[in-house]
Amino acid sequence: MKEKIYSVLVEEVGEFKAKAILRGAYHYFGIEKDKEAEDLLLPILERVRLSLNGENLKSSKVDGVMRRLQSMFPEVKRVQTEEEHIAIESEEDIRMAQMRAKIKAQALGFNGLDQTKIATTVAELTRNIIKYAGKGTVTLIPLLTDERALKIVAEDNGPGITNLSDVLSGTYDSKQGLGMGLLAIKRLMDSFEVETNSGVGTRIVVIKYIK
Amino acid sequence: MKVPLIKIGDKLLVSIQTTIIDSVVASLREDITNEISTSGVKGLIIDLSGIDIIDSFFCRMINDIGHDARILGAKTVVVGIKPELAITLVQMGMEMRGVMTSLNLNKALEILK
Amino acid sequence: MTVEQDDKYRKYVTSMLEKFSDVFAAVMVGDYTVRAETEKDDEFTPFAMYLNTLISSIQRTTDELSVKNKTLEEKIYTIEKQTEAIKQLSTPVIQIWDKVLVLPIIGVVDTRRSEQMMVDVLEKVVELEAECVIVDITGVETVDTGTADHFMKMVRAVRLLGAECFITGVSPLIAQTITHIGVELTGIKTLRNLSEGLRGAFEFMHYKVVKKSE
Ligand SMILES: Nc1ncnc2c1ncn2[C@@H]1O[C@H](COP(=O)(O)OP(=O)(O)OP(=O)(O)O)[C@@H](O)[C@H]1O
Ligand SMILES: [Mg+2]
Repeated sequence: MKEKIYSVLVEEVGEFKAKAILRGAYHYFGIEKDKEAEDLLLPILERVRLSLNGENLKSSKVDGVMRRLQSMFPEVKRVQTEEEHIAIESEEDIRMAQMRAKIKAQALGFNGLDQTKIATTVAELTRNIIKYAGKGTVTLIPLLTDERALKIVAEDNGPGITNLSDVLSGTYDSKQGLGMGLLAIKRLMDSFEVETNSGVGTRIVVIKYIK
Repeated sequence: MKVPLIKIGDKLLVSIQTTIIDSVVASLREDITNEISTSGVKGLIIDLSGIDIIDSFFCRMINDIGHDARILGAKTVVVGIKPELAITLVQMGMEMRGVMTSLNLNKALEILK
Repeated sequence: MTVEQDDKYRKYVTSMLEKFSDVFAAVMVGDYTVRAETEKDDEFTPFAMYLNTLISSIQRTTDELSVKNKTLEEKIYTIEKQTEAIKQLSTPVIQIWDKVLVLPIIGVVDTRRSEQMMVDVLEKVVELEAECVIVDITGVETVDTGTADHFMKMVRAVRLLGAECFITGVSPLIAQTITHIGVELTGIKTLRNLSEGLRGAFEFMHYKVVKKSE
């Protein structure tokens, strides 16, 4: 395992960084320390490099190792931290996307009600994509900062929402639907942003925080 | 994917188990209206206990079916909405208009008696 | 190396070591503003560099930590305050009669709390197959548009499940505010007090309360 990690790291970041990161990893994960450890100045050099770059060395080191290790050992809570990209091309994808959103929300620790809100939001977003743009994508992005959250990005290259302000003020009378979807999303989520251009497409970004 | 319609006495039971796609909605509405007008049932029960998500599209479908039924002289009772779905619906600002609701099938049958 | 050179070198090393000792001492007592300085480019240069990097990283970490500590303390403080508030305000769902639930609300109703109350009530409705929910707001002192909106939502959500929902304990003052702020509790049954609520529930369920002897 050690060799495997090391060789990948060397490939990715070069020998020296690899050694430094690995040393950090040994420390961090409690893997037995390498007997042929390079002289002790190596981690210091690494610190110098990082501090010269003006980075926060502690967390960036840990982060780097974590990311590398996670990509090598996929079982390390992959579902939780990874972005998920879902192509929305048919009505079947609507159900699939909402299911995956629910699973992701659950894995991230959202309560049952919020899981439902998230899945419902994805249902609204994807149905609009199918209905008005034909096809598009939805990306589920876990935010693992102090405040855990799930960010959902829905994008398409459709006709764009030409009367956005009417829709969001509730004065819009939808021909095809109730005209409730976007308003509903706004009420269910903690943050809601729409970027839309006539003839170019629509990009909707919403965020739900864990309470 | 076809939604089965079950006749219980003078009531019609529709049990929707999964999210429904557009094309099915049209045929489901048609099936229900046909059944109501030919058999003259006085009550329609829509069982949603197997449903995990109700979005605006689905909600509208229920309202439309209820509307159809009313025009044909049948009352509609929606059964088995889960708590988190009810809360999400009210927070979305959605309503189920023109239909009654009930906790379970028994009560629905009582309401329609 | 001559004796003179040797002596000079030893002095230099000693002075450098002393310099570094000063720096270490300062760091030891928590002064992270000091830096090791070197005049020549020799073995001491990298040593000073490593040391300075270490000090600045300690400094940064300490700064970060104290900032984090501060926010943590603040968070703990708010959590404590909230837990206290929740303890005071947590709302039990009481089964007052077969299939009749009462939710006595006391204090301030914000979005989070009202959501939690909804979850609790609706789950109890399903669990106990309740037919009536009485939301008693005798203990609610003030009602603004937000609060009224929460009550409306509660009633709607309960009804979506198939149960009836009454609001009781609407004081004259609150009734006035509600009218004043222009919230219409359309279609919502409000009753004066809890016993009126129970009477309403019995009526709704077609119960009749009679005296035994008669
Ligand atoms: N991705 C999109 N591309 C282009 N237009 C869109 C898109 N999403 C929404 N719209 C436009 O915005 C309007 C409002 O959308 P919204 O989802 O709020 O309501 P609706 O889809 O019409 O009805 P409902 O969602 O209640 O079934 C739509 O009628 C449509 O004209
Ligand atoms: Mg829509």
